[in-house]
Amino acid sequence: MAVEGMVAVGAGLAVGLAGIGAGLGEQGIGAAAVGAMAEDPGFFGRGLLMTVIPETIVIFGLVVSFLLMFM
Amino acid sequence: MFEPVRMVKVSVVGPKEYLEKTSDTLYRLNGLHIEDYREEEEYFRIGEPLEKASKLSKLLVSVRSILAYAGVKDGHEPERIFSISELDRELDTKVRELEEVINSRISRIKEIEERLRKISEERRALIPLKALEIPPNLLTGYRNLEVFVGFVRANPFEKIVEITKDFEIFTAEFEDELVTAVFVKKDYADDVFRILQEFAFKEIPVPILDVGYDERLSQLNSEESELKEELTKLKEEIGRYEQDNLDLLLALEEHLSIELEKSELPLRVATSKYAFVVVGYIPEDMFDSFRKELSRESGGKVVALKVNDSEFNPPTALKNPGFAKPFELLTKSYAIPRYNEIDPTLIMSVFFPLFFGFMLGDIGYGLVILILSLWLSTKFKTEGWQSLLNVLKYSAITTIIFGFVYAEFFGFEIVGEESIFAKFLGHENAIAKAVADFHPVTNRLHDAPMLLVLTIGIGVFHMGMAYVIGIRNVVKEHGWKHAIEEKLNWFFALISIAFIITGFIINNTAGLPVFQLNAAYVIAIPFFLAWAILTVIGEGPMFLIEYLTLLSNTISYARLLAVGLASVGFAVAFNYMTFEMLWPSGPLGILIGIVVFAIGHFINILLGILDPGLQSLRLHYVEFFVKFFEGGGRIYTPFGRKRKYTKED
Repeated sequence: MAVEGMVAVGAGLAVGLAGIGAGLGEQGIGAAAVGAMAEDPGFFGRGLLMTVIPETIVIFGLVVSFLLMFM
Repeated sequence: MFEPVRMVKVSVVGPKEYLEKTSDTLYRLNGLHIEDYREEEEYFRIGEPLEKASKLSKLLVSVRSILAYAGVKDGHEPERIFSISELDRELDTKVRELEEVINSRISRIKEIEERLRKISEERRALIPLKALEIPPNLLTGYRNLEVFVGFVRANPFEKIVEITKDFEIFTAEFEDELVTAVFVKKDYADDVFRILQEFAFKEIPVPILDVGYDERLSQLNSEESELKEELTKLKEEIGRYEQDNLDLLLALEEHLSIELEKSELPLRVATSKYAFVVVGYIPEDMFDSFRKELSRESGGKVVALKVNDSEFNPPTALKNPGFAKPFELLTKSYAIPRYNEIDPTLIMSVFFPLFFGFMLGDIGYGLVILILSLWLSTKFKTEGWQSLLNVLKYSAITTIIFGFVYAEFFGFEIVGEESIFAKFLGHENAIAKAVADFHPVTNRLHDAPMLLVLTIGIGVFHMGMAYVIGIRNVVKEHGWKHAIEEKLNWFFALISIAFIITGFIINNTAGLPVFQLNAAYVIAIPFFLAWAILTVIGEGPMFLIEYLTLLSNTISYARLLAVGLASVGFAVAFNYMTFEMLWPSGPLGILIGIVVFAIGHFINILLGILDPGLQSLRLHYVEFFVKFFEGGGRIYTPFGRKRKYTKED
């Protein structure tokens, strides 16, 4: 396979796998946050904050794929 | 503007006879946030509610229970506003009249509902019995026989035979279950019952009837339809009466709740034998008129004084210019700023729509969202919805502006060689030729690496602002030493990160090894060292690891580009499917193409509201607020309220 092809596959894996990881991380936090919000709607802000923390890893994956594709 | 409203602590003091009058005045001024008096001592005690309180609360309960039946819509606008004196004059008679009209009907409704429930229960028992085909009078009333009637899982014949032969069993199929009637001598009743239980026996209560099943069922049906008719009539009557009197009911409710609140004021203040003291907070610029008004109303007997004591813990009243008001909702759902903190609403009101527009950036989508939010704001009148829709309106406007920057319209380019005009009108068309030489300010798909750097830059600026505010907050609360050790060091860290990323980009574009020393790296070094030293002194070496958190926060702003690219990708894909693949393939293709186009862009707009909204909110909550905003304030709730259904004379 040509190098460009491998690069594209790598870029795809970087985003895709990171997305799966973030999803796995967020499922438990999200469930707990929704539970807490049902008890006290004032928890919305902090609940959202906690839930999205694992998401950063996707952004890392995205940046890596950018570096692969464009640089 | 950035700070909550400045407050002063006041105490209102006067003779006890003036408490009722003062309560009226305070309520009308609607400015004093009362601090409840709690610690009782020998001299000062918590006051007793005024005499009329118990009567008022009784009336209020009646009115509210009637209102519960009416179902008032949100944002109901009264046609008639009642004056207080009018309500006061007729209070008792009005409430009694309402009660008479409504309560008699309500109690009849309850009776009917009870009877209807009984009817349906009886019918539930009768229908399976009918399947057994044994007349009802044969199922009860034996001296030596026990009769078990009910549902079973399977026929228990074999098992019962093991105990006794003196029995009779009838079974019939009924809706996937088995109905059975077992006649057995009383001596064996207990044993048989145990066996039936093994077959999951569910008893059916046998009604005592002197007529056949069919006749009884038709009796029940006719009674039921009569009752239901009466029920709808009663409910309609109540509904009509309440609609006719809705404004009066709402006015009464408002008036009574206000009067009750006023008469319960003594429970929140300190009273001695002859005097009372109300302590609370009031906005600084209201104080003078507040004091004058109190003294005028009481003929100088009640005075308001500023208090300067160590317990100064005022509530937070957010103060923002009108256009930023809707964003208070977003701030509050994170936390309520403390009195001494910077209120981030104003900054958010600028950056939230900017981020949103930067991400979505499409003229077509912006217009759709703008029209949608304008239409919805005529439908949903509650305060929360209005704020949310206003936020959406601002975001739609920035989306349109960024749409022009990117020159995108539903995913099509509006300028350039391949513009939307060239595609549909042909390359020779006058408009297509006119726009062919223009270029968008930036094209997201082609300039992605450049935009990636820009988003990181935006992130550095945004978080830099957060640290500046953080320094100001800590200085105000704990002094400069803490500010330097807790916030300034991180500001340095941010600058070093910015220069390290710059150095990285310089080397990358020049094709040099990534970590070869260059000017940007050199500038980053002193900032990095300053951060490290200050952090070890101030927070301890463990906190050095947080550098990585800050780095990930910075890179997190890349989502500004990522979300937008995803949205463009969707739009371009749907357009390609519709106009390149389906359109040329004939009439059926055109039809399917239109459906694909509509559904695709509908989904993309929904995602386009949700995702940029959430991501923009997240950048504020997680990356921005965390650096300075602690929250934990109390919201300012003055004693009093704006009247909606009543007016003062």
